Amino acid sequence: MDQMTLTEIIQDIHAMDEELWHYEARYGLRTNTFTSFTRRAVAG
Amino acid sequence: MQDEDPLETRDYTDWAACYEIKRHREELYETVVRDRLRKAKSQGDISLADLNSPCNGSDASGCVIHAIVHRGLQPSHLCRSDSAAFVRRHTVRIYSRGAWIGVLEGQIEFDQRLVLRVFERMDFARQRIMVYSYEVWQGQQQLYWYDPRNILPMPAWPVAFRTTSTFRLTSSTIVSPRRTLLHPSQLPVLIEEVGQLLR
Repeated sequence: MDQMTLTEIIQDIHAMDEELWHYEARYGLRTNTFTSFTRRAVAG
Repeated sequence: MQDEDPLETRDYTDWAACYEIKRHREELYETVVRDRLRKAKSQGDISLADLNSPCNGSDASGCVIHAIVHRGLQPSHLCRSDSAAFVRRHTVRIYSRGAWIGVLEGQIEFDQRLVLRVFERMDFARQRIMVYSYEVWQGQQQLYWYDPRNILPMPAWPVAFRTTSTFRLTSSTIVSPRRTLLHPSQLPVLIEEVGQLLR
């Protein structure tokens, strides 16, 4: 395999969705909350 | 938000890395579909299947890692021959997550109860290690670890996460130095480093 297809891009998106769900379940936070929180931490 | 626990730090960085990869793929998807629809419009009729042709190249290094994923991890991938004597056994494996994403994880055991725990999430499409975690333990004591946030792809990563120079194990008072790895090394270098502790 040396080139990426749309199907493969979608597979990657679904795989990352599963990883994000895993972390959301573990820490009880939605990913957008997690990213917002980290951005606020940067802003101080 | 606390980052005292290296395992949580790994989770946070990997969480952010997964989010970044997803965003990258979504942007790539939008770009590719938009381009192909524009081209198709000028050609008249189009089959949806035509949209799914290959769209992005990869160089040899990505292919090599793909080969490792599909053929299995060999000892020669782990360490140089002169470092092999230090390694007693390992559980390191690489597996794919998605089509162009891989995870390497496991532990490498040495004499004197030294253990190197490794984790890497790789984006083959961009040929990048998106996040890593390398920890060196001796028995129940963590000797040192490499800070995974140095290569975190998320530009908005909080400064607060960078402030702690030491961490404390939850059930003891052991304080260990956090190491900085500016340029992620390959496993042979890490193994050689642990081997130096045994010399």
